[in-house]
Amino acid sequence: MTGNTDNRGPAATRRRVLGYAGAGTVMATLGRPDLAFGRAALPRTVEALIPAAKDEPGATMFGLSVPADSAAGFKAEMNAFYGFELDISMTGGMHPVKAAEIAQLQKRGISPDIDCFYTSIGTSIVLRDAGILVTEPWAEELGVAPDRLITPSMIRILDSALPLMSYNTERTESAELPTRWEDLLDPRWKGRIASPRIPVGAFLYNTYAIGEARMLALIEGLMDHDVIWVARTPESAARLLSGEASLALSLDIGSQLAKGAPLAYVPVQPALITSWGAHLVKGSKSPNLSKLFAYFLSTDVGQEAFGRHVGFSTRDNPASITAKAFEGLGVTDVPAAWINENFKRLAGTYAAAMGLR
Amino acid sequence: MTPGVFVGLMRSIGVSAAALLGVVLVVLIVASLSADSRIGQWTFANYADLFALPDLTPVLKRTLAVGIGTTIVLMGLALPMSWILARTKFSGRALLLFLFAATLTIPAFVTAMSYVWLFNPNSGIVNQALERLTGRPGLFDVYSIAWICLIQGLKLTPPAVFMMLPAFMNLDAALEEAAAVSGVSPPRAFFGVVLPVLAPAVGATAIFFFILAIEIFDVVAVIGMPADIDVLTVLSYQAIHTVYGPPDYGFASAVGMPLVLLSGLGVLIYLRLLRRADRFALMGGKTRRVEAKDLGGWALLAWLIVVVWGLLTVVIPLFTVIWTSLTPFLMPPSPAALRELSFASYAGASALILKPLINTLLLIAAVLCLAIVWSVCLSWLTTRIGAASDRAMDAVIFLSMAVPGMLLAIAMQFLSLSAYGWLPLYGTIWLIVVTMAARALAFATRTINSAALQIDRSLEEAAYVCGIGPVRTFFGVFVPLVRPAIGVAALVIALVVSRDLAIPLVLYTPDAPVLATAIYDLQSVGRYGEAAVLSLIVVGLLVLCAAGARAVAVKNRKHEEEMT
Repeated sequence: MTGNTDNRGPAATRRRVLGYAGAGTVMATLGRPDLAFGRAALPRTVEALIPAAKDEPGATMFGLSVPADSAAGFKAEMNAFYGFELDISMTGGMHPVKAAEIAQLQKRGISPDIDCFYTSIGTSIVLRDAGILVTEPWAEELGVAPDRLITPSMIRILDSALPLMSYNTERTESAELPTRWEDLLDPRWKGRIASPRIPVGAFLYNTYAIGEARMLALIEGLMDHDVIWVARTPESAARLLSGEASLALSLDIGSQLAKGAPLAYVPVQPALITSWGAHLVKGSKSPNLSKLFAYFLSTDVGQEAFGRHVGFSTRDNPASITAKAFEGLGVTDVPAAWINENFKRLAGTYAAAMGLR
Repeated sequence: MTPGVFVGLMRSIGVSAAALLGVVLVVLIVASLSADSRIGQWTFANYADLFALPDLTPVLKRTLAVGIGTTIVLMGLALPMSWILARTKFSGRALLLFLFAATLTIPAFVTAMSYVWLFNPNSGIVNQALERLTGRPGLFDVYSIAWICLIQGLKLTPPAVFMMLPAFMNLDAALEEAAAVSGVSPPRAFFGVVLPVLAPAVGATAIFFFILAIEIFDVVAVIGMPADIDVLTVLSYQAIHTVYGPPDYGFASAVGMPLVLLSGLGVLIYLRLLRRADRFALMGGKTRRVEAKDLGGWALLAWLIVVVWGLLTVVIPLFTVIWTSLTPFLMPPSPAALRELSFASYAGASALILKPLINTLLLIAAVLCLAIVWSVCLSWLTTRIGAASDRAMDAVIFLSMAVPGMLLAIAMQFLSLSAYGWLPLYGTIWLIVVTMAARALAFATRTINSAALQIDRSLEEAAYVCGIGPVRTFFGVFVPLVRPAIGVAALVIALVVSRDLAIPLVLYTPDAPVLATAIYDLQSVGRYGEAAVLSLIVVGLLVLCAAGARAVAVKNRKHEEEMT
């Protein structure tokens, strides 16, 4: 969805690491045990995880595809936060395929190769149905702030623009933009909308605002509207930036905005977004490392590091790229309860309307 | 070693490959007959769903059209190019080989994307230029089956040439000399003498690439999907890439079965060609070596073919990659965009290259070792022993190419999970090695078979008569004679392994990234510039490797000639 936006470079990382180390040294000298080892202040529940985490084998966090330098930058900040080196890897791929794979491993009594799975609320339903997630309220027990929790066992780690519509500011006048979802069926947009051919992006989430009947009519109309259907989300950005498409659906433009690309979200109201959450995977060999990773993402420091290195964050920090990209839109979340209740049914209905199984 | 023991040894090596791919095929057939991807819950529901698709007939027609169209384009280019390279003193030979290597290193979706930028009806650069000249908008529309066939045909020409080249090189020079003495022009000699004589190799290549053309997904994803040009691979892709439920492997496998059936038809034709192979043996004890001939006035036509093909297949996509590497974000070429160009992406990408590069080189080396050993053994068995079991193994290898790469990877993952207790390959780079080597077998065995078919068995029989054992005969006669074919197979496998994404994407581990997954990761997060730089580095390195390999081959050939 978005990309690396590290504008400060390794020098800033070094300063940050040294800063934590210095602060830790001072605090340790002053006799504050929870700030020993050069780390940040931690709740006792989190601190209690550290000794066991140090003895665990490496843990793999599955969610976004993260290039090596971005992962290294993020991990450096996390290590500094905790005061020791966490042996973690970050990887991404096809979420439902990985969920099916983990379920197979668990069925055969083999420890999964994924320890923490972070994904959208909708995909979480697939993971939950596959029975691969820890359902105990581990996140709540860690003391994660309630506004950073989606459920007691799911930490909110980023806000996704999947439900939004984007446009190229150099090729489309803001006065011409759609003001309602139905405006997409205007002949002027025929053959000029790029979208991944998935039912669970903008279509599903915006049903919360406009209702199922109107959305179904829109999808059916779009099937005869020469939409530029693409296989992967990044391809939508390519079509939008090249001018082939005037509008793109289900595209996160944060990373491109950070590079100065002439893109913006279309201010159709209500402007809805949806969150991603971090889960623990059952049978993990490194549950404590996974909890530390997830907890770090629930903190302001972790959010800042995630946004700067990986390009994603929640909108809580007004200085983040995510918050800036949403500026002026008045975004609101699609409620998790509504997603849980409607996701599978609507996904099936819309998939059928789109000619998908 | 007695001949019986030697054949047994070769068979045990061949069986390991054929059994692996045979099990994969069985897994897919069983999956297609299972409910909810659960083995043992038998059902025809997946096939019922497939045949209930309202647009199944158009999908099948489109799939056939893509296969036939692509094969026509690529054979139309590959045949003259093979002949030019193998039989003439064409002065652009080095350039053509360089272009071939470069083509194989550029991912097909990059080539397809370049054509979208140039020829899409809304904002295609060529269309806009023509609109300014003619006043007519959207003269070209890239979103059609014809363009898919053209782009796939252009991209697949180099491996097709590499597959046919050994056969062309082994052709007895006396045949063409007789034609020339009789006053027959080079093109007429090509169609009237060369082509009929090389029928098995040419036929096998055409069948192979027909199947490949309907199995690959990259170009269809970029050009077919936006225009609703659904083919079988699109259905398969959608079944695996579910977004709201578990992947539907059963339906994906059922969709793959028409491809397997088409491959089966190809195998039957191929086996028929093999039965008549003795009639086409061209290299015997008395065969004359190739003597390259002057093209004369036809050289201009040869240059035209090479330049046009190079422009369409290498220059346009390579320019796109270079352009993307210089821009801060994706932007089409324009005078205004020139002001934005910088080398900023190069600094970021250089820090990312080392580990994936080392892993990729190790992967290439391991895949090459395994694939070449497997394929030489299988080719020797098929073309020299030819027992029913050997032909069955060859048929299994041929059939396996109908399985899309991603489906093969998923089947291999399933197998590795099942066998985890006694063979813990799951989650290691070795699983990728075995899968990629197995994937390469269809191409490698076809390439080596086509060369081996044209080597008369009398050469090996003479060795046996002289009392030379089977091992020495194999390494002293068979292997040296098919060495050019082994070389081109190795080159193509290395180039393809370096950029193949479908298999590593399913099987790779984050601790062992390869170049293809590193590029994918960068693209996924919108770092197109750095992804382009990595692609350029790959292109540069592989072209250097290919040039180095060619230099060594030329040196060896000179040395052999001097020794002779």
